[in-house]
Amino acid sequence: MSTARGSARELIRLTGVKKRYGGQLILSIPEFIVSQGDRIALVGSNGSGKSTLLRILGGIAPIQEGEIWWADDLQQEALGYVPQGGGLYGELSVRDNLDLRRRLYGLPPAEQAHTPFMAGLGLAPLLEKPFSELSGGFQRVAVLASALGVNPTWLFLDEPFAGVDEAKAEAVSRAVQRLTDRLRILVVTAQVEDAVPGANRVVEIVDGRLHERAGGGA
Amino acid sequence: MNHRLGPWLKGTWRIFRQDLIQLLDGFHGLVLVFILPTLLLGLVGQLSVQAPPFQIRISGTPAGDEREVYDELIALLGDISTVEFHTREQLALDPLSELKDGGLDLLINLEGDRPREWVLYTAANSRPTLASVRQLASGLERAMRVIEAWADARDPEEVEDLADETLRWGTELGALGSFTPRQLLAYYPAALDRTTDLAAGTLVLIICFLPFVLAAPAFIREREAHTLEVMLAAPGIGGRAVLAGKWLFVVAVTVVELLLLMVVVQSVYGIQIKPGFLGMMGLILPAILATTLLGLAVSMLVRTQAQVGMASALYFLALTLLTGFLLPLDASSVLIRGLSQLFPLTAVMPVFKAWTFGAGPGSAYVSALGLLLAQCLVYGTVAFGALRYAMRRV
Repeated sequence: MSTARGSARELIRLTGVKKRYGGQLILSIPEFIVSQGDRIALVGSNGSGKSTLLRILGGIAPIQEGEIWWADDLQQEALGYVPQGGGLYGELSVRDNLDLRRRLYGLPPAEQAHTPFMAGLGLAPLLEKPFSELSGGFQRVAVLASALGVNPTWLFLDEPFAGVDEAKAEAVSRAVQRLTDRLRILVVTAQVEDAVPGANRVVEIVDGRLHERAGGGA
Repeated sequence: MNHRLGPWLKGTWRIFRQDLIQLLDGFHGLVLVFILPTLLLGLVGQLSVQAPPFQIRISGTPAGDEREVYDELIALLGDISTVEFHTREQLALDPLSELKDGGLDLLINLEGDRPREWVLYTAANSRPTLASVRQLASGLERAMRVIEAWADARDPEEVEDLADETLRWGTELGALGSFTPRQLLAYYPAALDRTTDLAAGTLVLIICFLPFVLAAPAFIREREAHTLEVMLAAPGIGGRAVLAGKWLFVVAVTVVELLLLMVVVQSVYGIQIKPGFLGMMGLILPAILATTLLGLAVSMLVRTQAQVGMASALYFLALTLLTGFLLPLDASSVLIRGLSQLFPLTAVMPVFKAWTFGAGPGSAYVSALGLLLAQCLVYGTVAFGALRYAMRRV
């Protein structure tokens, strides 16, 4: 399947990709292209392969068949990734986790741990608390903060609003939207596309195959 | 090549640094990894360990000039705390059966009217052998004297001389066939006692167990916390960099712990660092590498942290039972001796103990090194295979 945005610069291309778990075919993608400026809502039911596709696009999960191509400059840049669950070390404080994540990306610890994002979401007072002691909602916010803390130019969020109350989800959504200007790619997985505001492409996964829906909600 | 190696090295370094920061964060990691094992080794000295006496029976009476040598031999044996000897007039009709059934370690026949005078029977090996006591006596005597001297040796020069001397008698005895210095290393002077032997054994046990304990949870922990995905999302970090970084972390931490343990061995037990320390490190490092690779392979194959705990407990049990740490392997079945070859401790412990008591490198060193390198190869292959398997499940 090819994108309709043919004129935009291609950053990721999947060709003939197949992904299996234990012999079972999870994804079969003849072609999929992600271009500069894409804000993709990846939707589908539980177990449809959204997270797997997200990991494949990010170069996190290998494939058994097919080819993946990333633009050279994209590979040099930071990918902010929020997994579906966890993502930080439970025994470390939020601040230490944020610093570790930055070091992992070759960045020095942040001089200013309190960012407007954290303050807006009420995370700032919890910086010294161990990650495991935060509520589920604050844990998601902390993981998102760690992903944003590496100054990403492509951001992949796997169900970022799961377990987050409405007010926080709204705030997170606003925070991500504020970032979109400096992001080359944004991919967010969700059960339904309404959960991904600002998307300009909606891709649904059904039976391991991708179906692009006409008209994103940009 | 360099354009690929550079990011890989950076990725490896970042994973190493991340694990190190986590270990050094707070007091718990330091206590568990460095302080408690070191204290444990120090506590070994508080154990009152009595070695079972080495049972020797001497039959018959020597003739003529040999009487003098005989008396000296008896006197020497009497000075050794772990030797208990008995005399009798007649050699048993079936000396090999007496060795086997009578619980003897050594049977010396001094009767002069037999075709082969001064013969020695030893059950130290599976096949008892005969050797001329004329040859043995001088070597044994020197061995006993050297061992006695170790008890008081503190001066480095004196220690060095003793090490050379020990090597010489080891070589001489080695020429006698199967009655090798390996068996004679069971003799320890009263002042050192068997506690010292246990201390050396405990040191290598810790060094061959710690890497497994550190490596086995390495991947499963990241998988359970979904931090493995986060690592793999970082630029320049792939599965191999994660494997290499974690491997490097475990090896570095274990080497630091080894140095701490060496300090304890030297300060608490008075066992001086001998010449050949670098050579010994050349043996211990492959043991650490092999254990780490085995632990990492386990980490990628198990599914929960509880399984890691179980695997670590079983590995410790196997180390104590199947490597010669608690019980000698010489008399064990072929199956047990075969299984023992799977563990780095089997290879490194006898050579390390021998070195601790002053023996120089010998053929045992070469064969131990060969076994350890083979283990590194096998466990490295398993670890890389497990990595490929684990990455497919990401």
